[in-house]
Order: sequence, then structure tokens, then C-alpha cells
Amino acid sequence: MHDDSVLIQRALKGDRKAFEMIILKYQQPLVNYLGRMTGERETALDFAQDIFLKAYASLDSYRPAFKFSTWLFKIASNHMIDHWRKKKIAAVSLDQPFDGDESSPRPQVEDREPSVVRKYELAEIRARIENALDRIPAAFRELFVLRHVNEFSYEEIADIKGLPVGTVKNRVFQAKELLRRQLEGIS
Amino acid sequence: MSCLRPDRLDLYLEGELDGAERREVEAHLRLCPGCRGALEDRRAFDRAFSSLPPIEVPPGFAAAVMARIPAERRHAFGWLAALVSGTGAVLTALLGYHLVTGESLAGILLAVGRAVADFAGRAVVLVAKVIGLLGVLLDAAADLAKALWKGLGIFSAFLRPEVVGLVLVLAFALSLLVLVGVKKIVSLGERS
Repeated sequence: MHDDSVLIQRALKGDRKAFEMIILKYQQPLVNYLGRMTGERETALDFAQDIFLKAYASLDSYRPAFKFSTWLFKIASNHMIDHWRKKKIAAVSLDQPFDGDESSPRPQVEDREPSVVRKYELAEIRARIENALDRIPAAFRELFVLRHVNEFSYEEIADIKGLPVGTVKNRVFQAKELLRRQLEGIS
Repeated sequence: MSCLRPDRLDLYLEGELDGAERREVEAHLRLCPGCRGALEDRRAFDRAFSSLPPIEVPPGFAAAVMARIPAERRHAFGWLAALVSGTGAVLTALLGYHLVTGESLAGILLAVGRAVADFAGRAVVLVAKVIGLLGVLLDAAADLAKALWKGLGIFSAFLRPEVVGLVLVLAFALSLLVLVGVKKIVSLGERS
């Protein structure tokens, strides 16, 4: 597999095959992210096309000091924000305080007997998670997806979203708590 | 002994705690069955969260994106590159001529400069003449249009409106006939 920076240099010189290789490398993680964000496969595929076109058009502005994947997902995240703005979907702003921030007290571990994840088969749990994902605020869903679906590090997510690492860790935790509550509620 | 906070357990599971914090958590877990249970619970959730299946991407996806990308990449400073390469080519040609003929570079540059100045002078005169001619033609066309309009006004003042209308229709028909005739002559010329 070619290094991203080599492929980008070749693409910048007009090598179309190089950019196609970039698409082939990132199409799956990008569609996974967009699919979980939109809840619709077809919309995710359309958005993925638009995002690759945007990336191609602004390839000159990419700096190899950063990872290409975080640069691409920054474009994708901005695309989702534009989409929510157009559709006027209320997403909880990540700049607003949320219960459980670092300054807020946290609950102690609760006794849960037995947990939903131990009661059901993995396939059913997955379906329940997909369902629950649709019901949590989009801004939290995004951080959860970047961390647990796309498996970005907290530092990479902080770079994509332009947030402090501590805030990202806290919000991913909050997203998981929201999901757990949803899952417990429907079990 | 207070139990571990859930966010701490989470960071422990994800390997995000530093050495001292990790040891502290592990010491607590050894003594607290409640937190051990909670940790296992979270581990099971994390496994489930990270096991969501991929969303299928159709085989022709990359090709479909490439089909929407213009054939040639536009460079931000394309014009600058063209200017630099053009200048470079001219300088190389001059140097080559100097090396082959042995003529001094100053002499070559002077000759090229004269040729360029001569060409520019002629081009300026030609452009000025074309502009002057166009001006005269436009003036003549404007005078003709004015005279026709005036003539039409005088003509219509002496006649009834129906007669003026009839004359205009006849004039229009006559122009059409002339046009058709001209076209026919031209097409006969093409055949022969």
C-alpha cells in the first residue's frame, strides 16, 4: 500500500490513478462514518462522493505535517455540519456545557444486574446500538462514531473537531452513557 | 473506600491512563467486586460498540467519483508557471544562438529588441487604422439610418395609414424575394 503523502503528491501532479487509490483506501471508513451520522446508506454514499470531490478540489491546501485521514474527516465533519444547518436539525453544540462535564460531579458506579450486553446475542445488541445511535444528539453521536466506529485516537478526534483532548474524552464518555441509557431503556 | 468513577473505568479500559493512575485503579479493582463487575460490563459494551458492521460500498464507487472529477487538474499558479517556462525557453534559445553563432549576447538582445519594437510599432499603426475605419463605417451607417427614418416620416405624413401599411408589407416581401434570389445564386455557384 502506498503512503498517503506519495499518493497526494502524484495526484497533485495530475495522476488520476493516485487519487483513485486514495478513494479506494478511505471510502469504507468514510461511508461508515457518514452512514452512522445520516442513518441512510444512499445519503451516506452521495455525501462521500461530495466529500471526495471537495478533497480533490482543495488538495493544494493539504499539509503533509497532518494525517490525511484527519484532514479528510475534517472536511466530512464540516459537510455534516452544513447538512444539519440546511435541514435545521438541532444538534447539541459541543461548546455548550453538558451534564457531567469535568466541573460537574459524576455518579458512582451503579449496580447493574445483568447488563443488556450480556443478555442478548451480539447481532441483536448491534441492531439495538444502531437504533440507539439515531436517538442521541448528533454532536455526541459524531464523537462516538469517530472513536468507536472509525477508531480514531482522542488526539486525532480533537484535531478533526478543533476541541481540547480532555473535552473530547469527556464527550465520548457522555455519548456512551447516553447510548447505555438508551439500551437499558429498551431492553 | 469510594468506588471508581465510570469515566475513570472507561479511560482505564481504553488504555488512556498513565502508569500511576492505572496502578491506582488496579489496586482498587483487586479489592472491590462491584467495580470489577462494572468494568466487565463496560468492557462488554465497548466490544459491542466497536463491532458495528461496515456499511456496504458498491464496487464502482471510486470510478463513479473519478468520473465526476475534471480530466485535467487546475493548478492555482498555472499562469505563473507558463510565464516562467516561456521566459526560460526564450532565454535558452538566445543562449543557444549565442553559442552556435558566436555573436555577442548584447548584440542578439539588441537585434531582438529592435525586431520586437518594429513589430509592435507596425501593429499599433494597423490597429489604429482599423479602429479609424470602423468609426467611419459606423458614422455612415448611423447617417443612413437617420435619413431612412426621416424619409419614412415624410412619406407617411402624406399618405393614409392603410396605404403606409401596404407599402411596408410590399417592401418586406420585396426584401425577402431579394434574399431568396441571392441565396439561390450563391447555391448555384456552389454546385458549379
